[in-house]
Amino acid sequence: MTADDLAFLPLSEQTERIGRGELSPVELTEIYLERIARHGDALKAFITVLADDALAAAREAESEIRSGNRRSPLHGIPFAVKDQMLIAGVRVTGGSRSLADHVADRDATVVARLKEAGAVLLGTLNTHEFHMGPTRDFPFGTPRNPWNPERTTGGSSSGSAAAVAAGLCTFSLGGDTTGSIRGPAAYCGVVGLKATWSRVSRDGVFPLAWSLDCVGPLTRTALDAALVLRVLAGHDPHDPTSSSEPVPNYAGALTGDLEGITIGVVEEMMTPPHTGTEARTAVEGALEVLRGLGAEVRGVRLPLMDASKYITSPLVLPDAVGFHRPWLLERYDAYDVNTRVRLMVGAALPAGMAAQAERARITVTREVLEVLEGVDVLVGAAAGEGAPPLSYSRRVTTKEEAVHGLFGAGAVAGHHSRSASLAGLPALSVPCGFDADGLPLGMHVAGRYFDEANVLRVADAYERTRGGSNWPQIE
Amino acid sequence: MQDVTAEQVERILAAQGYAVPEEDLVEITARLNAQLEGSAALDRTAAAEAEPWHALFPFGATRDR
Repeated sequence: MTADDLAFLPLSEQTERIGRGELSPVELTEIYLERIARHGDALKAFITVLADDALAAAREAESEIRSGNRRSPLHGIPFAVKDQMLIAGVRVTGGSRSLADHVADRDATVVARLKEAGAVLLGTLNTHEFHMGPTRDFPFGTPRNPWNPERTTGGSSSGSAAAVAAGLCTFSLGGDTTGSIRGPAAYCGVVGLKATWSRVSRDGVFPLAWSLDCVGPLTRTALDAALVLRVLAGHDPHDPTSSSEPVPNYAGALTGDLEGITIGVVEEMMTPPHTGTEARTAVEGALEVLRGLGAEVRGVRLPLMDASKYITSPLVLPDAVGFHRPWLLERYDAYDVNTRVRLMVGAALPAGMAAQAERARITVTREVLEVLEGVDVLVGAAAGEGAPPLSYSRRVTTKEEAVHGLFGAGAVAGHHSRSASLAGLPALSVPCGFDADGLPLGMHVAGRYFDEANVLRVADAYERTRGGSNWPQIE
Repeated sequence: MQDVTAEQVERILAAQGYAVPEEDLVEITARLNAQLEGSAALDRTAAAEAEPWHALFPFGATRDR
């Protein structure tokens, strides 16, 4: 097996090889650092690479494992985190010029938990500025899709998805407010999981909107996501919103069979204008596979789903400007144009509209929960098409332009992921095929509160039938 | 519904201490008016009839699993 083959192995296989002494954490870390050096500049996936620290951590992991002290399945496994999560002594920018020299004085809880589990931190990953998107001018370069560098990665966890797809790390962490893990995962052909809101601590993570923000893993397989989530999940005294719900052995639920599982296929996630023929066909193919594994598949409707596009901005923007206010007053010009104008919209929105949006959120949530009383998971396309071409947004000067961009027929970004976010449900995107241009397509699976196990079970069962993985050839 | 003007938006922002350049103000005003137009769509979700409980389960008796 070549070094490049090892780089693309799932976490579950790497950890088995490490356990058997067939793969060294130092060797694996060196492979990724070499690949980052080779491809990093073209893809702009990383912001900061911690080569020396990573090699030191890998040597320590190797020594501990050799002496019989194996901390977890993640021990010796290289990972990277969205440049949104604090790392002690490391520059963490939020993808913003305004924090270009900000060095964190502590680890975010999720970073600390992964280090404690023995995982090897390679560095920080590129992101849309402060996780809002779309960023007009990326201070650390525009992230590019490994499947085609002229296509977008999606956002805001752009580097997190690109790095896993390109074989620059085994897994990554991203942040998801209304789809920022699942969208990039779909466009880049990796698994991206947002757990139940409150399942994973947000301590030490730059916020966007506190009642929606989630941290989660991007991985090569659902089993890998299960292994990482097991380490991340659980109450954190530093995050009072984190849940005390017991953390199950997610990987143990991945049996490959779907007997007794009922899947609701969401019509609003499968039809125009939000979903194209290729994305629909790919998901329908996956559903046939799931049916063959014993799942009952039936159609369901979420008529309020499209209304979510009117709800998220009045919820998110006022919340975000509350966090950014001190920095905006101090260094407004250091923010990207797209970020700062949207934050100012949040500052000017009437408070009554935010309250109205919160109530509308309840009606959307109630609709989703009622449908979930009759099915175990909700499935649909994770995005309406393969990754679109990179585009560089320009100034909006009229209300009509803004209405078209926010609510018009072409405003499909986020449609497939927002309802699960508004309801706080666990959800993931799993690759389910390719379009005619060879770009990945994703299937979205959402479940009941704290039922990540069934969400992962469905994705894993599908993956088992899919055979060997296909990864991009990077020039 | 009536749109807000750039001058009105500038005053609202200035009252909070924000001084934004003219080019930004045009875009902020356009985007704000678009959002305000979207509030009519929120009405169609019957938001006013929603019970005033928080959507997120750790904060009340609405936890539903």
